[in-house]
Amino acid sequence: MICDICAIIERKDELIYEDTDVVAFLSPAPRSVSEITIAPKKHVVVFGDCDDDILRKIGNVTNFLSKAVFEILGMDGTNIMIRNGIEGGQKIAHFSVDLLPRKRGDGINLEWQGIQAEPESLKETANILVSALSQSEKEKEVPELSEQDMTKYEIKRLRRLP
Amino acid sequence: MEYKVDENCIFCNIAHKKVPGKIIFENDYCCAFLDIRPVTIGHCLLVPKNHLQVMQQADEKTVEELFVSAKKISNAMIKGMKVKGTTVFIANGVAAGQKAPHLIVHIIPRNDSNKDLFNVPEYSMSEQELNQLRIILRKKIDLMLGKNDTEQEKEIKKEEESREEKNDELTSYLEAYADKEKSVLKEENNRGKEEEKEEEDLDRISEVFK
Repeated sequence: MICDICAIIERKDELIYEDTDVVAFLSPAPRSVSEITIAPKKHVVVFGDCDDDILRKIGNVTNFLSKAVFEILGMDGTNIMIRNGIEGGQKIAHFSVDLLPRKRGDGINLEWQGIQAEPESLKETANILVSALSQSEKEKEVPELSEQDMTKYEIKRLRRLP
Repeated sequence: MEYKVDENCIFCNIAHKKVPGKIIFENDYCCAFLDIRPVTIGHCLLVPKNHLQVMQQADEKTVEELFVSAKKISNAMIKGMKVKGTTVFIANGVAAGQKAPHLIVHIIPRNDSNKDLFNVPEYSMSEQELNQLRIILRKKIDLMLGKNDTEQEKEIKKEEESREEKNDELTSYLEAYADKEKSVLKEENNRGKEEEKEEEDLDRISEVFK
């Protein structure tokens, strides 16, 4: 079963922007007049799985459209949101960026009340995040074994079996 | 790298370490630190190191770095804090809810405690309204990207661009030629002066032998 966004990409009739890797279209479930969805053509389920190269393009297309709505629709502001994962508010299993054009007094409320954080919690959380970030950098540096190396490894492993 | 900084902006000051902040990530273009009044603990503020008020002011490289860095931080939250979702949120302009004078990319860990955040009711539009909007947007976007220029208009634009390039080439050629002429003239002048001096010397010598 094809995903909703892949279907829109295939049909083409709803697209308002298209290039080799990125498309944009009016949101199927808009939260404001003219909410726009920007998505990669490649089927990627979550934000975290999107290639950096494609993500860079998506960023620039989103920013371009964010500027364009001022001129085209006379908007006063824009929200850019990435709803990542079900708990992040993601509804379709295809990564996308939402661009919400905003008008003064449009009645949309996306504000929140912050809570004063405990210094100890902040310190602990900072350490967790720094550690997780440096671990993923290290994982990127590990060179992948070539096929030749893999074969050698397999042979050594087999020889060790009793 | 040289940065454009606003001394009175607290976010510039944190990003450039003029005041303390819980920085968890930085590179040449941007810096992320924990919000001390978060939605939920772990709420990060990712800001460009240059002072920018809204994303529309950012150049392409900065935009790219912000998106890629947001992905890294979001992944770190999922891995390190074991949350099952994150939300990236940017407010460009007061009408969009922007409160800070500096562009901020919020990266928020999501869980039960903040599940009602960003729940905005759907906006209903008729199929006809949607279609009209789509047509207008498509047309104007193509116009902005120069996609609808006729073949003739495209040719004219190309010619203008190549003419400008040729003009630049010609200018630099003429400048180089002018410099060369100047140095040749200088040499001739110097040689002229030397010849004059030689003649004077010869005259003086012949005076002696008169």
